[in-house]
Amino acid sequence: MVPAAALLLVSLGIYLRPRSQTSGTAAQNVTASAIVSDAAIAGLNDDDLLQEIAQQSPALQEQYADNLRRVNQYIQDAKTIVADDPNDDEARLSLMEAYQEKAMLFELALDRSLQ
Amino acid sequence: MSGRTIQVAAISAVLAGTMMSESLLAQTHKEYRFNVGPRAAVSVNNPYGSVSVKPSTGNVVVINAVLSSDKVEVDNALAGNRVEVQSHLLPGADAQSGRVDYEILAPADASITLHSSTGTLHAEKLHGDVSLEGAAATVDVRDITNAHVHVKTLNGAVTLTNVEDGHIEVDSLSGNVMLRNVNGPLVQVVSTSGGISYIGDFGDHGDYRFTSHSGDIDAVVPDSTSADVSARSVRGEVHDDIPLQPKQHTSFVIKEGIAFRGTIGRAAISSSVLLRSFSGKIHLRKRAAE
Repeated sequence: MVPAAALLLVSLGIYLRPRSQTSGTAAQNVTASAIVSDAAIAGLNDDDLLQEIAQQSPALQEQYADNLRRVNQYIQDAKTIVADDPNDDEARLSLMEAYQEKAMLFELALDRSLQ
Repeated sequence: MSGRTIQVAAISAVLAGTMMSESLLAQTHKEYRFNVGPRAAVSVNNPYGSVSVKPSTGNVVVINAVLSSDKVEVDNALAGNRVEVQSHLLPGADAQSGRVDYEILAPADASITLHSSTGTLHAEKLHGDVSLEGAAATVDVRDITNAHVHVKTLNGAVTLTNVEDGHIEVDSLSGNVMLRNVNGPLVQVVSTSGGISYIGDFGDHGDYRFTSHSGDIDAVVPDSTSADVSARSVRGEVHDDIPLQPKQHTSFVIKEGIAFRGTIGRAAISSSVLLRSFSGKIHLRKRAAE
């Protein structure tokens, strides 16, 4: 899962960096929905995460599910703001941080599964 | 109270005492000592239980471990200048029987890496780098100078107190983060739903970034503070009780009640402070005179 999370961040970084360098160009018109496909390409699968937790630490499944729901909402909201104003540098940074939070969730889950 | 009631109570007390004694007897204390060089590294991976690190005198690492049962062992090694400690869970171990509580003395310049899923992670009076990570672990870091401090938790609360001149990065998905007298070139906190509280003066020439998706952000500063402050909550509210000198240029539209930007004190020596939330409230206020 960690490689998948890392891949997600790399692909997101590749996506966001050119956008910040090409402000004012047609690239801005690419909607944040493209980022969703980055997540899919990276193979991040919420169900896999919850299954892993259910097997390794059933008592924590609810906590992870709750945090997963919250971080997915964070990503959705951040994407909405980027889509509303592609020139908003802070919004793009916020989206990056939202994905980092999700990557951390997977990282912590994997740490548990290795114990 | 009837005689029978007294008899039952007495038997219960004896049974409880016996169980407690067995529990205490099952505990094992172990101590390990390692001689290390300057700027040593200490790494502890403890699935269940607390880890506390304080400074030692001299170049020695002393590890005191309290093992809850024989379902867990302590693996340890000195590799070069690095001490590695791992709580090794044996078959059948659970959160109670697999618990180990560590008290560690390490040279103040050592770099410390701690992992625990539960329990408390504590580090104090150090000036080496500190990295603490745990799902439900509560994190308490205090009296750290000139060091990198990295913290990651799922829902454990994080408290940093008296961290001077630090490069600080805290990530917590839903735990609350409290910073008291924390300053340095970089102080960054990211949370998904946890609240962020800062009490301090934002130092000088530092970059402070506090972001929470749905948690509230509260910053309390003294009169002497100099900072260039930018705050924005997309769907929440922002309040500033401190007069700010407005900035000419902002990267986002300032709408009263959801965003503000300006300078406190002397702009020439000010830090940059960014407070950002999606649906949480942001409040910047002055510390009451003591």
